Amino acid sequence: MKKHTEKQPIDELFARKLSDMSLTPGNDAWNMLQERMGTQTSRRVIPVWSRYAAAAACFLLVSTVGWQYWRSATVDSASTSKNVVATVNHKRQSLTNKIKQVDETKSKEQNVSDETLAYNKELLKTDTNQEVSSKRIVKPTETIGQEAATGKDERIAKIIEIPEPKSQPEPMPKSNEPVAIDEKRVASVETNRADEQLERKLIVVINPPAVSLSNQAMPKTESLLSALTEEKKDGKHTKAGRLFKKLKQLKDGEAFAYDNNTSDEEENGLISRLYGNVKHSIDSKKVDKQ
Amino acid sequence: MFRIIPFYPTEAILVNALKRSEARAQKVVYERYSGRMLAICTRYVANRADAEEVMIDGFMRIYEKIGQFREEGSFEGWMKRIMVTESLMFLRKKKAWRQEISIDEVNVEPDYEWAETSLEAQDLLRMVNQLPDGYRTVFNLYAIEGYSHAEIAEMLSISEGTSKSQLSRARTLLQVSLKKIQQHQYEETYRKAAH
Repeated sequence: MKKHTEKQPIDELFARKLSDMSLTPGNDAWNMLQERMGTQTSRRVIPVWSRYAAAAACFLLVSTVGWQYWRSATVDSASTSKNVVATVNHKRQSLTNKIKQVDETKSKEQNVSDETLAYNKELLKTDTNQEVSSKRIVKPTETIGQEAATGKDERIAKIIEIPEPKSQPEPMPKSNEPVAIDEKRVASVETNRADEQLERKLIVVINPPAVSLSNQAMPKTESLLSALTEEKKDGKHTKAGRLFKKLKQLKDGEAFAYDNNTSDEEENGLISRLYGNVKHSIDSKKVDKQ
Repeated sequence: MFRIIPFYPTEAILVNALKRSEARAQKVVYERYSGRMLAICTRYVANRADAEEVMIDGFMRIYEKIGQFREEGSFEGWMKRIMVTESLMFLRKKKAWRQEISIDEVNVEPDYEWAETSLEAQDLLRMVNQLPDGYRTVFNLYAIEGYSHAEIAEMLSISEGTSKSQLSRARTLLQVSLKKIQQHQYEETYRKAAH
């Protein structure tokens, strides 16, 4: 703004009167202004909400995922423990079978039958139907049969030989089995006999991991025996021993509830021991103070 | 209004809030300055309804271009300039200041002391609004906003001579209307005194 020397009185009059003049706009002028800026204001408003929404969404997502993860983790831990039991069971079984093989010729049959039983039990547990099992049976049997024929894998060939000569007698389980499992076992054995040759080969097919495990662990039967005895010795006092005991019981077909009870007892024992320790320490402190 | 204003105690804070596009700051600015801005627009546009439209556009422009405002000058001065520019844009659509009317060059000097005391801003505004668009624009720009003829010529894309002639014609018309009002008032007071 420049000052002018040629300002006339009329200019000054109007400038003085009008420069600071104020008029009241209509009431709806602001609303009109907001309407015209509608897009802009909405753009300004939404981010504020979206921030909260995003935060809430993030929280929800994280919490849901976390919860799911936690839940799956707990389930996994439970399932893995089961798996551990199963594998150990299997291993244990194969070991015992091996020993029996060494001891007696009959025990070979026992071994085979036990293994079939174990496999069939697993099948029953996991609710896999007969079709799936038969499919499973066919494929590896062929391959391994070929392998055996070519004599590449002596071990497998040897194992294949084992069940063939015998017309299988009913393998008798140990004394304290529940009746239900007995029936299952019978049923499974019957199904096994339905397709004899395949079944036998199947047994071989399922065996390898266990056998290989046992082979890896103890290649010789003597070492196997010694290892077993060692394990038994350990098992007397350690947790692993108790576990082994439980597993054996499980293998023999005892109810799972018994397992749980024992575990509860263990936990209780632990807690009581802990409690005793704490109480002892507190008492000793009291005595010190006194 | 009184509840909202204390959030922006100084102009700088208000301007910063505007730069952050705070809706409340925009409302505060509108409530503080809309009256004066509307007066400016009315001075140029003459029609009240058009003036409000121009003012709304002016505020939108202020909110949009607040980033261009430098703290060197006053915020109100900057806003006023935006309002004037908006008004000129409105008038340019009408090609207002190219209009010419023939008036007799009469030298009538009104009583400015009387005008100063007796006339309200509203009366003067009414007189300005009665001017033809071109005269009014130049008079507003030169007499009230204080632009030079060179600046006005550039702003309106006219020659300096046109600006000068339009200013002098505007002055004459205003003087005539002032004189008329003055005479009318004198006659009124004379009549009252006679009775």
